[in-house]
Amino acid sequence: MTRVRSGRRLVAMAAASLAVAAAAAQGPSLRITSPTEGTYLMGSVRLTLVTDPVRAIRDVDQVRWFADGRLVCTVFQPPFSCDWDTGPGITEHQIRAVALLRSGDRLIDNVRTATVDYAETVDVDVVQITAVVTDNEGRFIGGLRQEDFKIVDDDRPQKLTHFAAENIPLELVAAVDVSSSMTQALPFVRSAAKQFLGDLDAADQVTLLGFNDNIFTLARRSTDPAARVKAVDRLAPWGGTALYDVLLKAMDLLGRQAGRHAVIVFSDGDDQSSHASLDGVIRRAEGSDATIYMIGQGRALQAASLQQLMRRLTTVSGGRAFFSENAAKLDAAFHEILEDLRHQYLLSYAPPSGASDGAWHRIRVEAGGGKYSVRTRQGYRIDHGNSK
Amino acid sequence: MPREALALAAGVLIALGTAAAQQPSARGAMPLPARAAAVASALGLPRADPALLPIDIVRLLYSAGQGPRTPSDPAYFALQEALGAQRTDGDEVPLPLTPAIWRTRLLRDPGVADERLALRIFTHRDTALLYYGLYAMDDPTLAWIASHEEVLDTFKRHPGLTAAFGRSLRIRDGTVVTPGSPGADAIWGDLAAAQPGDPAAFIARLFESHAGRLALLYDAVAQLDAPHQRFALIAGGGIRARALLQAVIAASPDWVVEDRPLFRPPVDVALLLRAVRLDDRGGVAPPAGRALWEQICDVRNRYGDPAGSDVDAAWLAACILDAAPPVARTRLTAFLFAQRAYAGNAAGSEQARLVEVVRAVMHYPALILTLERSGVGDLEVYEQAARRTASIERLRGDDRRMAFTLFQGAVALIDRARWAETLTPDAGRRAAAALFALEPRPATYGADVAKWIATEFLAAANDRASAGGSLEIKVLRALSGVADAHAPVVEWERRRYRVDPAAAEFKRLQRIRARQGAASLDAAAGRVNARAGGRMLADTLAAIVYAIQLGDPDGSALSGGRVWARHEFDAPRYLGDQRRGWRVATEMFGADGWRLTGSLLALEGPLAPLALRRMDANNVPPEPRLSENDRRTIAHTAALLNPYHLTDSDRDRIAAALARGRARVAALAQSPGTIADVARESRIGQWRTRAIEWRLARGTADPAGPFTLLELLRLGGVDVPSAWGTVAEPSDGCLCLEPPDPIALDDVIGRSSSGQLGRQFDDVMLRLAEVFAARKLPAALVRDAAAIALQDVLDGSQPYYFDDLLTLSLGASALPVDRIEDYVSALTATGPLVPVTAASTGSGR
Repeated sequence: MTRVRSGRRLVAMAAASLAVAAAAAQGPSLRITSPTEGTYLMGSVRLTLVTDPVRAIRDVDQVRWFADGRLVCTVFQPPFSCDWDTGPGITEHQIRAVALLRSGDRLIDNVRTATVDYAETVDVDVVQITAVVTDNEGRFIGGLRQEDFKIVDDDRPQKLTHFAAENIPLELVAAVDVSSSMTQALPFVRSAAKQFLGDLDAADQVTLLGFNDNIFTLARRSTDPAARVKAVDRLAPWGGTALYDVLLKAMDLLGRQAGRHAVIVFSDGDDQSSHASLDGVIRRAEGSDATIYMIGQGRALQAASLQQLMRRLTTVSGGRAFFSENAAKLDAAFHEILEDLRHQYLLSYAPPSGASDGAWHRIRVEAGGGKYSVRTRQGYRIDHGNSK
Repeated sequence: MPREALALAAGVLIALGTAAAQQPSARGAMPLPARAAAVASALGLPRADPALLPIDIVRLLYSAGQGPRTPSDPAYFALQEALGAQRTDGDEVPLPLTPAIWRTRLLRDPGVADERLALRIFTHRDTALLYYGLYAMDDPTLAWIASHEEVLDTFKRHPGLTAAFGRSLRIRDGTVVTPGSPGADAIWGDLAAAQPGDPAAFIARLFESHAGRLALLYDAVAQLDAPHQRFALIAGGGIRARALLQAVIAASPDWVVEDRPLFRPPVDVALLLRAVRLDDRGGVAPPAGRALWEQICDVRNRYGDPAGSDVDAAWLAACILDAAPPVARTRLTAFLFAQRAYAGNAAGSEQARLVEVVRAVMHYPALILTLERSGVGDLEVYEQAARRTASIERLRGDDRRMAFTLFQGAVALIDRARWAETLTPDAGRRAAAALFALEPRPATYGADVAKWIATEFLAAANDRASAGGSLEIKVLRALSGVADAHAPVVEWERRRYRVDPAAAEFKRLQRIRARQGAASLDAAAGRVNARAGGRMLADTLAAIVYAIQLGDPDGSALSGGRVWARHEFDAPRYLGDQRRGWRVATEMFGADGWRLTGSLLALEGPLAPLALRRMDANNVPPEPRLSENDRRTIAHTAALLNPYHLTDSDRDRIAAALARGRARVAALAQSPGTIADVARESRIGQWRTRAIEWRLARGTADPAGPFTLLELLRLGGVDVPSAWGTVAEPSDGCLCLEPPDPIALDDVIGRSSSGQLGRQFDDVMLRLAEVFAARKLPAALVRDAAAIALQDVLDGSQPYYFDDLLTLSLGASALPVDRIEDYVSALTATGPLVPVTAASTGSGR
């Protein structure tokens, strides 16, 4: 019996050796491990891969990940993984990884995920509010508890279903105007933006957009401070200003998971190149739980319509608008935004029945029995086309 | 003499002759105080080729505007720094004529050291332009100039004209070889009031007459082929040549040629003379009757009349050039349209009809040119269309808007169905005739058009396109195309795909329609009995027409809301353009929202940027240096590409021709005698020809230098098939693809305001053909790959000055195969490569 087992083992080992030899003769290969073929994807997914043999990963210089024919990230460090937001709904996707070896060769793999022809979706609406509480001298008030807050929706008191005062994940989209008029101010903007991004918590997810009449995604939900800084260095000024488009895109990029969502937009001018309309942006902002901060500089100080837009969007979302004459003093504005973000409370409640009617519903939040000021979104609009 | 001695003598003579050909005597060299690469780098120029660097310097610094560059200009400052260095180990660059002549006659400074010549020449506008113009002259011409230095005084007085037109001067055996000679010598002599046999006097008169306009005409004629030279100058004799000159003098009165020598108006004599089609006798191809054109061109020919009853070059120049630019463009478009559309010369009642049709293309260009390019246009169809526009024009207010939308929307359906080949030309003509027969009565037009769509349009469409499904599904299929039952299957990255552009297009349209949120065609058609229903149908039809050109369903254009509802047909009264709704639309941005103003037809033009696709949006590309017009022209080409017209046989023909062209270029070093043929056939232009000659003379390793793919194709003996061409609109007004114009890259200099550079840029298509042929990939995929490739090249291959088509073209030809593979892979996501069942287990890619 032992001899038979030994013989079988020898045969198995020989077969394995032959397989290894054959694989070595073929060269290394690449395999995407997430997502796998035929899976269903929705929301954020981590793209991962392995090489075969495993040690071949040492020969990889960079990996470019493509989703649906578009480059979503280029990764220069092992394990060469990348996060990608598939968007709402379950649809088919094509994920492709291209590993560039130091030899110049390429290894490629691709997977196709599945779609559903019909999905019955149940929209569970939750109204999520971030609130900043200050006293009558503008000082932030911390340490409040759930029972310190009262919420009124269209004059109807509401019961909070969720409350958080600390360690609340933040997802932030920062959009910097890189139109040609920004040439002089951009060095200061870069410096202030790097400082700001560096001061965020390590766990905060940041997407950095540069925009002129196009929108460029320079860092995608990155939690790596070094990557964020590198992305800022890639900002370069030319072209027009598609301000409305970038506002829409920023709100669309924010995930649907619970947590704080914020958009920061820096621009020096009125919109000149957007496909989106002003009304479309305002409506989208009303339906989003993102807190919008806007910083206007340079020509923005003379553009009354831009200032009006900035104030309107920030007010309706519970954010703030800043106007800075001097690009060298942008740090102050970024600092105030950072402080705001550090002192937010997160409140949630289920909207009253009938509120998912696409109409505007007014929210009023009271804290400390009314003795504090609360800055929060002014209302919401639930339009099952595209808002939350 | 013994045979061996004869052979030896012959061999010596041949060697001497070859050596002579390789050793230009009137062209020397001058040292740079730095390596060419360092100078190029300091200026941000792409090429460090010593033979071409000086040309790039002049074009970079002196192309735009007039007057000297100032030290505060960064490029000028960098040049001064680079050329002012005190080194002696730099490269040499060509110097037309000798250093001594430059010192004594041109710089008037005998003490200038050789090492400082470049600094003196290139940091002063006049001397830089002189250098540029002299560079382009061939060696025999320079040799004559070197031995008749007094002619340099003329060049010195007119450095701008020398730069612009020096390339056309040719002197042989002490005589100027005039364009069109020998038949044209007397005519030029008459125009210049000096004879070509006295070159110094002739050149002086050429440059000094009429503020450079005679030299402009001379150069324009010199670039024409022989038949067009005869047409321009000889056919009508001296009297008509003088009339032609008069028209050139009167054209573009604000343009001082000497001040802006490297600028050209959007419509000029060179473009006109080149574009006119000729018949077998060398006259204007029909319809050429003066009686016809005098009704179109309402300006009486103030420069006399042609001898016969046909128009001639002078008459056309007077009609077209002697008008404001928009009018000039309209007239030229109308004339060339007529030439394309008609084979016979119109007479009698036919002429009256022809006059109306030509007026129609001037007044309703988007309509007539759309009918032309869709292949359904003939005399009768154009006339019917024009008559129908008249009744629509009489409407007002909402009724007018509804009628415009329904009429133009329906024509747009025919146009797109012809593109998708779901309508044959005859079926398209029948559908168009049925549409034009409908009277636009406000109360019933909606119902009539709805019925037309469901019956005439869909009945005419391919059976497989219109089979099954709702009205909207059938229409979208008719606009998308029909899958080829024998479509090739491609193995790509271990999977198998069917090539199905129709499926991809149908899916794209469906997704866009879903995002638009407009009423379906079925719902709109179901409500057309009430007047308001007609408006709903109009709204839906407009949404569908926009959907065709809105590009990526996930793109930002779809965030523009109901952009079709904001479409404006009429311009504000103060602009005075009463027929705005019949001209190709323009894009407007503003607080009222992004919208288009103009016709609903040919939207691929104003929406052209949406036809391109950026695969990598993770980095901000460098600022584009191409003009907006050229970028739009390139995008317009992408929007017109048709996968059903891109064939594998053309793909292979292109690839084979490129290989032949490369072989001829590679053989130049061994066969320097072929330079003239290579230059002529490839149309590389005078400057690059001189550069090749200089490199050969110096024994440079790669004497040929860079050739674009278009030039290589020409050398390979093949013209670009139309389906692989570029949008012809900047040349002849056609809203279609045609081969690039048979001109050199140099001839797009100064024409960035009219998209001429974009018109000539075809190298991406040729590169894709080459790679696809090698990989045996179906040509039908080129259209979608080109949408990505063109954006990639526009982002990554930056011209270094407005007119630097060479850099753009070389960037296209250098597209790596790996990158092209990425484009193909992108097509497997949402493009025309549709997965076929399970993944292949074969080797694949």
